[in-house]
Amino acid sequence: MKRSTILLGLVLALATSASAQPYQPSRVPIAFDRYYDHDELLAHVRAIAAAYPELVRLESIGKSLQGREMVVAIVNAPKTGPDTAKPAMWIDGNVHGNEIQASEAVLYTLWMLTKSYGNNVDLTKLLDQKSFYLLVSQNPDGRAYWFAHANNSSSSRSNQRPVDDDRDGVFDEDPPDDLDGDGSITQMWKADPDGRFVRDTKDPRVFRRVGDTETGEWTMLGSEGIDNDGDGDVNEDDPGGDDMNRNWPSDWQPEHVQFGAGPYPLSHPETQAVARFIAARPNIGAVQSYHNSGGMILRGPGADYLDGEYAADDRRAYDEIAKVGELLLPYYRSMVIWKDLYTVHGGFVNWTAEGLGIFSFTNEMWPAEKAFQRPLDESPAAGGPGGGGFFGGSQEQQDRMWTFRDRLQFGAVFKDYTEYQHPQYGKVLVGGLNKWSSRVTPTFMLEEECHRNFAFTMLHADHMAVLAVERSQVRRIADGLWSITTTIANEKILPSRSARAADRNIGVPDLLTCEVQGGTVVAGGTVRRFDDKAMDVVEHEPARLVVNRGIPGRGQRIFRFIVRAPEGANATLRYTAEKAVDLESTVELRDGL
Amino acid sequence: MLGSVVALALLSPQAVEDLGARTRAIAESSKAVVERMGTSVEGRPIHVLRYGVDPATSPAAKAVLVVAGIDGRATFSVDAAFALCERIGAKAGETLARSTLYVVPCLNPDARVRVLGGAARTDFGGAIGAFDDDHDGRVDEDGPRDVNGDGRIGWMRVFDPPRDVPRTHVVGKDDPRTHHVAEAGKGEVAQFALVIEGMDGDGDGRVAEDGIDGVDLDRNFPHLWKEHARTSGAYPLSAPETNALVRWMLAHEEIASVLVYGTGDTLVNVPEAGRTDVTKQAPLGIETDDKVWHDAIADKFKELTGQKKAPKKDLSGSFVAWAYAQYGVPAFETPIFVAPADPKSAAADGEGGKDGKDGTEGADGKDAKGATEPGPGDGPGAGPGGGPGGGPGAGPGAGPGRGPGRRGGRGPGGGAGPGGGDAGKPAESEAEEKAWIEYAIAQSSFTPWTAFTHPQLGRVEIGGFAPGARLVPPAAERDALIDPQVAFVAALLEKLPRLEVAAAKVEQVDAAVWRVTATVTNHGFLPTTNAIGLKVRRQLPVVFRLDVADDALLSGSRVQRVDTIAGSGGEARATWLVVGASGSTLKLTIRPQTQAAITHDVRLTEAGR
Repeated sequence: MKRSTILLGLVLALATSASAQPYQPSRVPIAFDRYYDHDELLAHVRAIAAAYPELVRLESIGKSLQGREMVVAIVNAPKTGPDTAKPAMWIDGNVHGNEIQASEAVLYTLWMLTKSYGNNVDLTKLLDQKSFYLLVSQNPDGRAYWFAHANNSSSSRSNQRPVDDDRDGVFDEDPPDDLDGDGSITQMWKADPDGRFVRDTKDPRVFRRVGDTETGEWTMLGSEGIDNDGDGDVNEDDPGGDDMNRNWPSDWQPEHVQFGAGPYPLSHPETQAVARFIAARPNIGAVQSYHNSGGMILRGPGADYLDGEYAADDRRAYDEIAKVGELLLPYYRSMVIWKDLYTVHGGFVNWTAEGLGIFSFTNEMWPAEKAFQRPLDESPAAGGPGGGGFFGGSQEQQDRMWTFRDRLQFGAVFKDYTEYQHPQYGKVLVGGLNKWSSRVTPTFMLEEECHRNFAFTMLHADHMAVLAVERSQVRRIADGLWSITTTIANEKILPSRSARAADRNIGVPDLLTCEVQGGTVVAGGTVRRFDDKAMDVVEHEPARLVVNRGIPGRGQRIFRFIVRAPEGANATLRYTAEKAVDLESTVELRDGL
Repeated sequence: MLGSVVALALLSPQAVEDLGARTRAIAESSKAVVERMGTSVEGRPIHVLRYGVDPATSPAAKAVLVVAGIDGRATFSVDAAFALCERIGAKAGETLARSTLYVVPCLNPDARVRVLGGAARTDFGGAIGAFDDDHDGRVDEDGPRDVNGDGRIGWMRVFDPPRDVPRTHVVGKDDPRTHHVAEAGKGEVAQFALVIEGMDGDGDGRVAEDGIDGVDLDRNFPHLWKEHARTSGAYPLSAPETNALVRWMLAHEEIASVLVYGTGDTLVNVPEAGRTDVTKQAPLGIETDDKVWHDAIADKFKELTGQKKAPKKDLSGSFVAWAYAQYGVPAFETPIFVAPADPKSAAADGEGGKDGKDGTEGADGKDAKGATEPGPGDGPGAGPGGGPGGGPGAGPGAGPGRGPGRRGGRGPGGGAGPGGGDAGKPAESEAEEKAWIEYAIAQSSFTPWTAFTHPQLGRVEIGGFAPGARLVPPAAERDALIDPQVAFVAALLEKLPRLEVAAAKVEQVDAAVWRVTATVTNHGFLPTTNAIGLKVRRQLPVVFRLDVADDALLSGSRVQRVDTIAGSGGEARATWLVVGASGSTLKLTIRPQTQAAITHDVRLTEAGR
């Protein structure tokens, strides 16, 4: 009955919108061909919340070390229940301050969800079933520092807690310096008869390494900067030093094992605030964290010795979602962190996946292949599609990137080399790629990349468990003795409880209870096939079945209760799950119903 | 010099004390500087008392930190820490003129109040918090209870247990009061399940499997922390008590060694050297190059206390393990009281009986209740909770107090009892177990096994050790146990690195060329940074900096670092060759492994001033 009503509604909605342009304006116009610093981001979040009060509630979860507010946007359609009664997805980004497009991807998610609800059928249905917790930046201070100060595309990764990198008892006293005043930290080169580089004869922007038997003319001196503290070293103690994506409790390791770990797990106000929010919401069944760069869909574990910790059932679910993700996100590859990237101890998604048993992905945005929508180096030697990218690449590849910067970015990510009289090194050249290069998605491609990542998270969110009582049957066994058999099915890929949560006793297991009006539950358990006569009974508490593994993805479980009650009495079955909407169904005890 | 407060504490303590008042009184009488370092879950203050020099005014001075009262059942550890406060001045006054002693007498005041007050679950020494032990969606719904109405919660030997509770134990051959895990390889047939006194309160077929417990503070530290284990806490340092201690310590770089009055031991059982964890980088025990220091200090401890055996405890997630492996300083733990005195003979100075382990490791954080030997009387979820069983002053005591260095390791049972509050390991032999039982009976902390017909389980015997029975020495022995500990702390203070920052030496090499040498010497025994410290890199190096213009510096970096200075006269030295006019001055800055800097003006003359 219910199902046909929904179908009819669907047809009507499609009919009315079939001729219209599939575009929905937002009450808050936001351009996604540009980037926003933390204040601007937060202003957009607040504006959307103000414009869509029926869908968005803001919760301040704390403040960064430097006092920037961290605000989670809770996106929920209240008419189908409170956010905590639905499976929810957590989405954040920018834990590394320099990985800026991560935040725009989260902002885009908020923007799309709000403007689509009630207008787009699929997203409306999704938001009726699921809720979202969105945090635009896990590292407001790092982001603010990246925007406000001279940086390169890899600096300001850290939070802003001072760390004495050079162990001289003084903190952050020798940062890089913007010597040429272009707002970026570029490179310094010095003419050197023993150098290992020459300048390209055709393109003076390019320094090429000479062969082992040749002599060059230039030496690279590193990032732009002087010896601020007079210790003889240049740029050796820059602001910050922690890597907040190494500060999470699962497999946290100290600094000498894991660089950037911080003094102890959750030692930072930012990580502490996020952890408290997530840990307090067991309805979170999916997690997405955005980073840059390289084009990856990453899952844990982060260390080889944890590889066996991901159970086969969970791996299958991860793989199924990631495989579709690879289609939605061209040039993104599905990868396992420790195996395909590098070892990470104490990473954020490692905590959510391994510590909390939540299906969690990290996406590394901006695959360089997107520059020309094809492999950067198509020569057979480079291994065809997917070669190079994040980790540098062949000469051919680098040359192509110059074409991209010149002909699609119109030179905006490069600063010409200029001479500078350096107090330590004498005459040097300062210049090179600026902070908007390399890792940052080019602005003209930002909206598309946000959209494709948004689509990936919607896929993930959509596949959080949706449970339904598929079939129920009452049979008379003897006078006043009845059997109730019921199938609870899950139409989505993710189980209602991950194998990880079940194996590690995380949270509360799923429960199926049976309450009989004026009667008692004599036995309870499961059957393999609906019509099986024999059941696997539980020895204790037959009216309260603990379903530790939950309802499997795209699967079902069949339960049976034997109850004693007068004919016509009602029996109420309730299925509760942390990461699915609870079910309740009532059956009347009459034969053949 | 035995203060009246101490006498009260050791010999006739009140059941429930005002810990704050006691701390203040002792701090005042012993002239300590008191600081509140944190607040417990239930809002009680956690204090640290400081003796000796103020590191703020003596940046090169090093400190020892003593921490007690991590497990609420180790009530004596708190009394011992207070006694240390009272007596250390007389014992180490001279050393304290150049070093610092910090004492945290009670890290876990909530559990102490609970244990001394005889609250329902005194068998759990950690911080109380809601935890669904049996993962059934109901929290703390099926805790232990006094089934036979004797006013205590004891242990039950269940001879006909329900299906989900397997038989595991056999009664000892010689003494039916003892029991051990049946060894199938020896043909032993398990006779009963050993579970804490209680009922199947929630009808799930298990007995007393989900009572009140929470975070064991000594499993809540980051080194080798066990995620998802029963009492580890939701994340490392999730408890406000452990968090406060670590944050305070990280702000006190002068701490050069840590001593724990706890439930485990690393002084008689020196941790294994050279093994690493899954990362292949962090030590499981101690670094190979630290063994020499650890052994020297452990030898001193054994010499002073006479201890030859002590309980072994899995130190995963413990404070002492963190203090060593992640804070990076020499760190030690002792339960102080390690074994009952042998009432029959003090002559048989031997190892404790035959080497027959009769249990498996329990209480390692896994849900081991009932399935393994929980260490009679004090495993997880163990023991009577009725009164302050085994508390100070209970029972007639075990004979006259003994002098320092004369106890421990005597005769059968003179050794490795599971003193640990949650060590979970039974004594190594039936004879040792028997000695503990005799001891506990004398302390009124063992209830004889008594047959009882359980309304759900049928034939059972109820009895066994009171919680913490093996952690608290008899009243008459307590005082004598303290002095060797005070002497040990004095010895530890004596062994600290002791830095002397010498005046810079200036030598004229040429009319305008000078060699400037700065030296910091370690007159102490321990190196300023040991092997684990060098690995962890939390401590600063000794940093020398001579401010001299680029053109005037002929050799040597302007800033020079020395990572560690060996003990017994080891030196850190920085040398520069500079050009300068005779009589001109340069600024020399030395950070002797602290952020606080010592600055000198170095005058380029032969005398250097």
